[in-house]
Amino acid sequence: MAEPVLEIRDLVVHFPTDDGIVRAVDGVSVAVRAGETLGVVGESGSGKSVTFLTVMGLVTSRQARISGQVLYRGQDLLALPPGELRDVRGRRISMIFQDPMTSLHPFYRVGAQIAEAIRAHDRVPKEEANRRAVEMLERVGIPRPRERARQYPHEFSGGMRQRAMIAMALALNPDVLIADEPTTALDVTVQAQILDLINELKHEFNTSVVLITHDLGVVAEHCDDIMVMYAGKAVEIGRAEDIYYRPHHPYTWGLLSSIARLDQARERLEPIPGLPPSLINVPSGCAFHPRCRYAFDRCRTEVPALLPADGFHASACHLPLEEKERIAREEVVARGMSTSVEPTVTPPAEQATQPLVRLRGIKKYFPIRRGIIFQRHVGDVRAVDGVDLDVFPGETVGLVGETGCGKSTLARVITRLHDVTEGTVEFEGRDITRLKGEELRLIRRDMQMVFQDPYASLNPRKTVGSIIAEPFRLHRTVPKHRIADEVKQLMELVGLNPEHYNRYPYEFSGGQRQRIGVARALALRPKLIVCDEPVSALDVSIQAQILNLLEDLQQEFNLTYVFIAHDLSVVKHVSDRVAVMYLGKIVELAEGGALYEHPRHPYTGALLSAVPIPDPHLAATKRRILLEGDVPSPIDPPAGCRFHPRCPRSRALAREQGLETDHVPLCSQTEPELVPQGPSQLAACHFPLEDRRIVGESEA
Amino acid sequence: MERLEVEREAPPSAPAPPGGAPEIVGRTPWQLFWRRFRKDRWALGGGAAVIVVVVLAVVGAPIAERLTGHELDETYIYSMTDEFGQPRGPTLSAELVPPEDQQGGSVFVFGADGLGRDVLVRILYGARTSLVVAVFATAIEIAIGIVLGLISGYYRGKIDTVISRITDVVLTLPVLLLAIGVGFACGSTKEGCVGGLVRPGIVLVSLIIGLFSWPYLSRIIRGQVLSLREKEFTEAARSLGASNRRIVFREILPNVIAPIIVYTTLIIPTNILFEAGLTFLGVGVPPEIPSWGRMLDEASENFDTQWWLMVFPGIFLFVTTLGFNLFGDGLRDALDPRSDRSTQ
Repeated sequence: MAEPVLEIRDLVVHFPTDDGIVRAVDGVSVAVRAGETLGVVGESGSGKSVTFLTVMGLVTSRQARISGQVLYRGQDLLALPPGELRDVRGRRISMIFQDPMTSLHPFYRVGAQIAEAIRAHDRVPKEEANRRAVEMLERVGIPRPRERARQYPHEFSGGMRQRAMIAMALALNPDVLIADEPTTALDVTVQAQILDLINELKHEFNTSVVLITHDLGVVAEHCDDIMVMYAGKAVEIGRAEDIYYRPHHPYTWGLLSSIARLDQARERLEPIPGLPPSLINVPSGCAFHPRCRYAFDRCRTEVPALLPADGFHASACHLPLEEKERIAREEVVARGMSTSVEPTVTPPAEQATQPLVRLRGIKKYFPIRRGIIFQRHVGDVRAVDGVDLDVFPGETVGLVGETGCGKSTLARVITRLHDVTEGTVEFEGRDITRLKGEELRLIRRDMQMVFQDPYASLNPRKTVGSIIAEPFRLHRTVPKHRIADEVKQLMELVGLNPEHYNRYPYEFSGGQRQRIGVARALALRPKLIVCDEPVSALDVSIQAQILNLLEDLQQEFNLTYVFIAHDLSVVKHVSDRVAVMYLGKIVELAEGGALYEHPRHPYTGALLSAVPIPDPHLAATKRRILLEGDVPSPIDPPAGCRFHPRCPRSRALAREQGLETDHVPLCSQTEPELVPQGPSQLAACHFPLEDRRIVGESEA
Repeated sequence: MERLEVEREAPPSAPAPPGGAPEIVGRTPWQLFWRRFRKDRWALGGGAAVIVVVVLAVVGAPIAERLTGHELDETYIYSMTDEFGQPRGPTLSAELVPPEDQQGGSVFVFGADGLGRDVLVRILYGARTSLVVAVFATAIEIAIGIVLGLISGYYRGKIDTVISRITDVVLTLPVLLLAIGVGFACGSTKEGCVGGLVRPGIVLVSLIIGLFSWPYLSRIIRGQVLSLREKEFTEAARSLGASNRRIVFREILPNVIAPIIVYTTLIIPTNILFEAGLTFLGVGVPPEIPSWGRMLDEASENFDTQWWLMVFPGIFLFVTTLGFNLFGDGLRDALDPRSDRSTQ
């Protein structure tokens, strides 16, 4: 194992507040080795970001009490005067942040921002700095870097901005790159690109990387060491194989079994019960004991030390080593191994029953207007551009696709939040496309939505009780004096404490808020619930809780779901049938298992191959189809097959046939229809992928 | 950055640890606001000043009248002006010469004005005028501002265009000139204007102020509503079948209350000054109503020798406006930054 470049020793960061001391980091020791990647994993509020912000000297709150050592090549950064620390920061250790939308300055050109970072440390002439900025942009895979450097951040897509951030961070060739959730805000395909890029650059520049994330799946492929954090402490540290194949801490077990996995059968997730603790009121003894299935008396009183089990691998848990090994082997890892046996999902008897929702030729264009007084119509954003879809009673239809593919718009068309531009929406055989007023209000009872952002979907000025009671007041399905009881019953049903009736949304965590959203959607006992990315804003462990809740409710109330997500593993986990959308069209529609076993559309194949798998060995053998570039603008979609400019298959075929063009003319000229490919599968592709082609096997 | 925010609640599955650790209790937004607000000494001082002025105006004026024995319009022309007709300054033992003067007290804390009237009593009654005009004018302003702001922000499109252009027009009007014009047209005679419908007085001044200053508030609210209407909770309300009116008043309005309150406390002093200014220019409240603006106007002639005529009303005006401004700033700091935790 390589020598450590950066070593954190007994780092403690406490923030005194009105309510008490927030123990954000409570005695963390870890080393980052030269040329290796350290993964730092934990739920929100586990102290993982604060630890590394402190390393960077970015915890500037005057009240913060910091102790311990951060040794960079033997030098304690915490003891350095600000001036010298600034020299280390950016040049020796640099950082990229989660949200590429806000971490670039909107006012300056991208190239200038990178050049500025260079000039902050190196006394070089402006031209030289600019030249290096362009060079770096090229290094991180930005096409036409000279032009791009002269553009502003808003002209960059999310993935491109993150690339630009990486270029800025690596411009001075630092020893350590700290990446704080670098891909959480990005689509899977872009996530794969960015993670690969970081990995490549790591080798090229011989940089050490710290990858902070809440998702164990993301770090499996790229990490050498992993530290799992809980409530400000490291609970387990080990080599990646240790963590994935011989995990020793119950919290790690929980994280592993709450991930919805693409390579596994659709079985029930095992979430970690409860919530991460408040960092003010950390439970006594082992902080994890209230959520731990294996806790015994000693755990409640005595804080476990981080003890090495075998060499480097260490965990902080009172369970005896043999017991840990046994549980890890039999209950956690074994579960991961029971793969690839697809349970026989009984497809709903499609022909027999009438669809609950029937969409025909749905188009939704958002007009773009210019001018202040006389607004001219200059074009359309074709968010949804011709979609046919049937949703049958009792089934879950998943909608997946990258940002901007039109899936959320389609959801809002179904629930009549948007009026369609063209096409018909039928609900229970009745055309509801143009319903208005009272009739529309009545039909709304039967279809509800659960929204993506649990922070924005609840009115911050209303109590939880009145939020959940709103549907009753609007539709008077329940007499006034019984509303409070009904609300409390609903709260219990979704796993909330009914005594919290009078609290405000901000007093709840993200997961609890999403439960409130579910309770509200459920109040009128609808037939259909459209879930618009209901778990994408949540931690993995909390995602599992919500997914299980949705499943239970579906069985109890015979609900039909339209489930939208950009995370294919999640969609696979919940859906009977999955529709893959690209630029406003469905490109593939299939029964869940079939889609994942043998995708027909190259886009589906690429999406599937980009999904991270929480298994280092499997991930290493998997081959990726990396999609180039970003989704084109829906204002002016490409001619022919909309996917063709990014399609690896069309490109490969053109090469095979010795064509001079990049793509097969059929693909670039004729738009493919969504036609049956096999028994229960539809795909819109001129050259569908052949049968039994394993996910991730590349074309070329 | 990761949220450092503290969960204000012990997780259900994690009972409070034994050993009597203090439990973190949930707080209402009001409690949170108060915790922040009470730490702001300037704001508390401003609030106290406002309360003192209000109490003085409501209760203090008649009490002062009783204590000094000087009625509002009572003139001590022989006792409190000198042989040149110039007023006498603050005194604790005025020589009350004519017998009719001797019924009143001999204490003129703030001196007398050119007609021999007690400046203290007039200041306190003047506070009533200032506050009433400020409140009326602000009420008119807020009513128009909220309604138009909500409508144009929520409905957007043509309605928004029309309202916004009207707003622009009102903003471009030379307010002071118009106010002087209208004030002069309607306030110079007792009959008023529009066939006697609008008569000079407090109502007229309030109308002039209110009708010209609403665009600022309406713009603020429109901006807020534009972003709130895109929040998922308005969509959620719509998907539940709530009408537009219900969404505007039940979902959106409660979220703009905070900026409205803050803005209100900040425009009240502006309006007090506006009234004083208009009266100073002679187009505000009519002469028979006591007003700080008029007192300052009258004081301006000889303020080098009769300093008390300017200093005391000036101090009151200053303290009142400063008090409201400090209070408003404190409110904004306490209400705005984190009370809306949905935006992180």
